[in-house]
Amino acid sequence: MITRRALLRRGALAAAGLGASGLLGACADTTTPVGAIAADADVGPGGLPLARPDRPVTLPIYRDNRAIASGLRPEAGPLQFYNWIEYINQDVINDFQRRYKVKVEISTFTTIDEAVAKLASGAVQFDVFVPETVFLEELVVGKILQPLNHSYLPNLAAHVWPSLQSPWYDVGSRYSVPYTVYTTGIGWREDFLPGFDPSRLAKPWGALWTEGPRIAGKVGLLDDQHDGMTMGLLERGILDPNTERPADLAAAKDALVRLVQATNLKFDTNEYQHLADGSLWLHQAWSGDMASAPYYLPKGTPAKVLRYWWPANGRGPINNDMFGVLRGARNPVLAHLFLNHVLDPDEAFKNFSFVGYQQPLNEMTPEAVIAHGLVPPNLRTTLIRDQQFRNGLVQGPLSQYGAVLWENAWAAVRSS
Amino acid sequence: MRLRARRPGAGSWRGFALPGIVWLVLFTVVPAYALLAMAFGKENFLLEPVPAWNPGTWNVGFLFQAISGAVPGGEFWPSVRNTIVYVAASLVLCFVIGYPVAYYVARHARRTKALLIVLLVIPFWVSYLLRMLAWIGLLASDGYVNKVLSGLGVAHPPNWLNGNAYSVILALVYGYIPYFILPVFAGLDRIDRHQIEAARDLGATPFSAFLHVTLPLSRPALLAGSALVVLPMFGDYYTNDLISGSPRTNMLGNEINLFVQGGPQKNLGACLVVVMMAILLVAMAYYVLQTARDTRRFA
Repeated sequence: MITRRALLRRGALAAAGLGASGLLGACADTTTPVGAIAADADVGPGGLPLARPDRPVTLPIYRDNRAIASGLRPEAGPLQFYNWIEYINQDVINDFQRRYKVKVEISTFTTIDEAVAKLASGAVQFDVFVPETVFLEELVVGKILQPLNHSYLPNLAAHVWPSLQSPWYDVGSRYSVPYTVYTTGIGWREDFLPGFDPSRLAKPWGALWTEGPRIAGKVGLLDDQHDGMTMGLLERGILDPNTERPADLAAAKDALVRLVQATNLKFDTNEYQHLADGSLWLHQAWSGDMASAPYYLPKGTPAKVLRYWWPANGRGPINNDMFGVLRGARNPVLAHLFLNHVLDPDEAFKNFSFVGYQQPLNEMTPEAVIAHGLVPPNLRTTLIRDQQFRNGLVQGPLSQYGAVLWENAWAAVRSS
Repeated sequence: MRLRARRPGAGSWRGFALPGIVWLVLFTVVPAYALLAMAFGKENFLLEPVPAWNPGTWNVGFLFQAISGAVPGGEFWPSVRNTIVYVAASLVLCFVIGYPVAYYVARHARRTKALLIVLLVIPFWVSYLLRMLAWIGLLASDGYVNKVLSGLGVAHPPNWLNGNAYSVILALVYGYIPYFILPVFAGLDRIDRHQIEAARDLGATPFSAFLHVTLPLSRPALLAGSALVVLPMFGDYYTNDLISGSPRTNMLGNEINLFVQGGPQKNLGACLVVVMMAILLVAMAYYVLQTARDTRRFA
């Protein structure tokens, strides 16, 4: 089963390779013969510098792609929202419809390649889209997104974590506002693994390797190139989740192949179901999926059996999704108002109850989420604070050279 | 000069083939050429494939990578090997299970024939994906299959979903066997009973009549049924994803899916499809030759 998160991250595989036919058309004279890929770790596929927390990127604003003026009246709609399947609570949509007396029409996509290809072709026209850090630069270079006018987005300054008001991937939030944040850690069933806790191990990221062989057949890894390979890197003590060093990736690949052979490793992206139904006991996991996992437990099984570890100091994989307004939007003012609406803390809590993913809002502290009864206390580790986000190992875009290295290493793991 | 006799109206009859030819060109030849153009194309700086429509500009770099990876010792060889073994095993099971079913319905079912045909068609009402998902419930550790086995006294029923090749093969058989049974049934149903009766009249035992008359006459149908199941099985990847999820049972379709779903090497994925098509062409060539031979023989 492929979840929204999996599809999102699979799109991230193509981070570099944005499936934008419109872009392709525009770049038809820049084709590179196969094998001519050169190592250039500083430049992304779109030609802009690769954004990293220590190398923030200010995305360009083009003369023919300016933000809308301030003080405009909202359009009559309907607002066209292009989103992942089940990645927003309908109650949040209903509130927006009531507040602005407009209709919101949601169209969904299943792969990011499909979505971007449609957007770039001009065959579809939507107002709001959900990009991700790893391919934001390409969407901007391709002029698929339009710059934002912050006068319509007061909630950005009022509620969003300081670190994401002007994030490293989009300094000044010129094209995006953050949507959800998530970590990638380790989930397990405490009732099947009593006493187990990665934090007690000398090498917590090696937990699957040390505990896995004992419970072979009950161990899972996310079927996601970036997160899967990152687990191998972390086990090897390599803390750069964007490394393009062949030796690093070879070490990660070897570690994962060992894991496959020692544990009869399963690859999937519905860890919340497998851990809940007990078919797997130990699994690399996304925080938001683990927050939702209690809903999948069989009747009579208490939520306390589910546990999730991610390093409290924030030195673990972390990322965030975002919203943007499309350049071809017919309702750009309404689209801005929608972005602002989703950044409202009340709406964010409503949204959490459905999607299970935390929004980076000052009000959405771990304590508040637990107090709302949205996450049981034993899964508090699925929730993070701004400071942890700042320390996190963020996954950014890769160069063309790096993207090929990563994919080949992952392919070797998946067929080992 | 000797003129060939021309049947009156033959030209207009040939015209009836025109829609089919147009259809084939539009939806078989053109997509196949697009696949080749993609496989032998280049990449732009966004790592997206740019098709090369002109064969003079074809770049075979990825094809060499795909071919060298698909031979023993190559990076894709385990998946190619698994695919060939699983499909062959599934085909054998289709013969063992499907032929008797088709034979019974065609030759022995009388009043119940229509009902049995409906039952054979029923699986087509449910999507392949849903049928595979149903198997997860059936084969789970505490699923119905193991409950039945436990009830029968099996102390340690197998963990079917534990990345086992036999589970993938069983699921493939379950998923595709209706496509095998129906053409075989149709072929058996068309066999002239008088030929079998003639064999019996000439002293053949029932088994001998089956072996020397029914089985040879049903060979075209068996070949058609085999082609119908082998082709989709070869490209299947979702069955393995759902039933196993383990790299140990990776199939060629899984490799193709990995490269085509996303990432910077979609050309390589397209080249793997070309490799798969080349393997299937061998099987299809055998099918075409045998069918032509059978047509001449039984005409």
